[in-house]
Amino acid sequence: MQETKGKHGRGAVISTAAAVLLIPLTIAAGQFFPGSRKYYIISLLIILYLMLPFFAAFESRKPQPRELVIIAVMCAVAIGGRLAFFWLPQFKPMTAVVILSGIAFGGQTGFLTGAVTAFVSNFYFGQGPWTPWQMFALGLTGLISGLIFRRDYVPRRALSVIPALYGAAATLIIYGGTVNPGSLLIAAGEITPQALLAAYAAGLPMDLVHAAATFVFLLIGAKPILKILCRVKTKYGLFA
Amino acid sequence: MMGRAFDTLHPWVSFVFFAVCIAFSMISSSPVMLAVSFFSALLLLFVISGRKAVRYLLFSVPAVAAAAAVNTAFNHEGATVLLYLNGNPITLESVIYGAVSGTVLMTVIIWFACFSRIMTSEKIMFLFAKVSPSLSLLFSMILRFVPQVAAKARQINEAQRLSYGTPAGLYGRIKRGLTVIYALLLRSFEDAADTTDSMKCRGYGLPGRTAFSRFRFTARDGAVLAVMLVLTAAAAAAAGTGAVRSAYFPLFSGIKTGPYAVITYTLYAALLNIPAALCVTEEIKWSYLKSRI
Repeated sequence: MQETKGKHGRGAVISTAAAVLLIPLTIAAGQFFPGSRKYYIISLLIILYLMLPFFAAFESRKPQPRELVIIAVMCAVAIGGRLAFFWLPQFKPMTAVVILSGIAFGGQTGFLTGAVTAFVSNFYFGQGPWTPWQMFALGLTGLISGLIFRRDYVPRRALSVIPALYGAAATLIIYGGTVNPGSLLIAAGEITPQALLAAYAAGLPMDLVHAAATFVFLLIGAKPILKILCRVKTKYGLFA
Repeated sequence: MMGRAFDTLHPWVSFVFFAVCIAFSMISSSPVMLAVSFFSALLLLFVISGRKAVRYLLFSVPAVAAAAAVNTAFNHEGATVLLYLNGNPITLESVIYGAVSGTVLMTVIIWFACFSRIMTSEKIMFLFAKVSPSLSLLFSMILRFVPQVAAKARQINEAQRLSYGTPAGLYGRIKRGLTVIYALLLRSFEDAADTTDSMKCRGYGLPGRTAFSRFRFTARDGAVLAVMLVLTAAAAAAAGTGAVRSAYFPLFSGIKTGPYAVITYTLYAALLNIPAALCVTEEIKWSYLKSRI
């Protein structure tokens, strides 16, 4: 599925090694930091370390213009979807587009589409301390969709229901599970089990609408859009 | 626009400024430093974008109150018990700590509001271009494609509306939205293929390619950056003496007023107000020159 397999380049290897080394170091060093805001800072740094290898892999494999343009189109469509559905709060096709990008073009591209979409769309909706969390959450959603939906494993006829179910679950678990603790850390700094539960409860209505949107968009749109993407892939010999 | 003096600084200088500001605001535990950061951010936002800053100030009050309430509900540390609610102690320290957390959040949000106005996508792209040329190109393509995609979507939508009428109900609208997305994807990919061909023809990926940039690092940028770095180092060193370190639990340590603490506050305030000072000086110089015409 991905021609890039096995040649992720030196940048990716170095940054993965750095992430593996830096995460325990950051946690250890953070313990000496006074106050409970250390939890926010430590988790922010960990999120940045985790995203770095993906960007480094992308950069060091010197992507072809075709690949660049395809990712750019997917991101622009996802952002356009977020802009187009402004009249329905939280009911956006953005996550669905990211998942489809992961399914059609593989996990790496899915991650990039998700993370970059979250980053760039916040130029329209407002950057803030929440940006890294959204980038990571959406990137992870795209990555995992690419990993589980190798088209060779999933029967063609199931390609609308299963992605839709995955989309709803991913929105609730991956996106909600990353962004809700993120906003708790941003707002309160202290994480206790009760506070975490309250943060999830507070985010749940939003997450449910978001998950329903992802489910509906994938249920109706997955098959036709995947057909388009696969046709594009064949026509231009992409990621083949 | 009053923010021009800051806007015309080199992107790296502005970026370093915001990185330092936001990092200091998140790390420092001192309530005085936090207040300094909050009001400096608000002042800068006022200088850059005028009355919008008032909206942020007004929004801060309920946000800080909400953070204090939430923290009080879940955090029962602290020695000074104000009252018991359902058998849970409500402590003065956790109210203070919650208010401080809320202020940190608002401070960072206001710094980001300044950041978005000064660090335009063009500047961000310039910063990326050195570190990661492919990501920077991807970023610029997306920014180009978003309005293009929106325009195409409008055209397709119009065509659909003229052929099939306005869709009724939520389901109809979603279905129409998807129809537009299919057509949009196909059209965008066809156009994208042209873009890649034209990129290839113009030698994308060949060695020796240079990048155009509007930004030059001038003597003024150097001076501002030097002042900024010296003040950052001095403020960090002064704060490093521990003179301003504040604790909230079990007892709030109060506002520190030792000599080192005052030095830290002064250096910190000077550092955070560099851009506002630049803009105001420029404005004064400009009105003085205008008055002499």
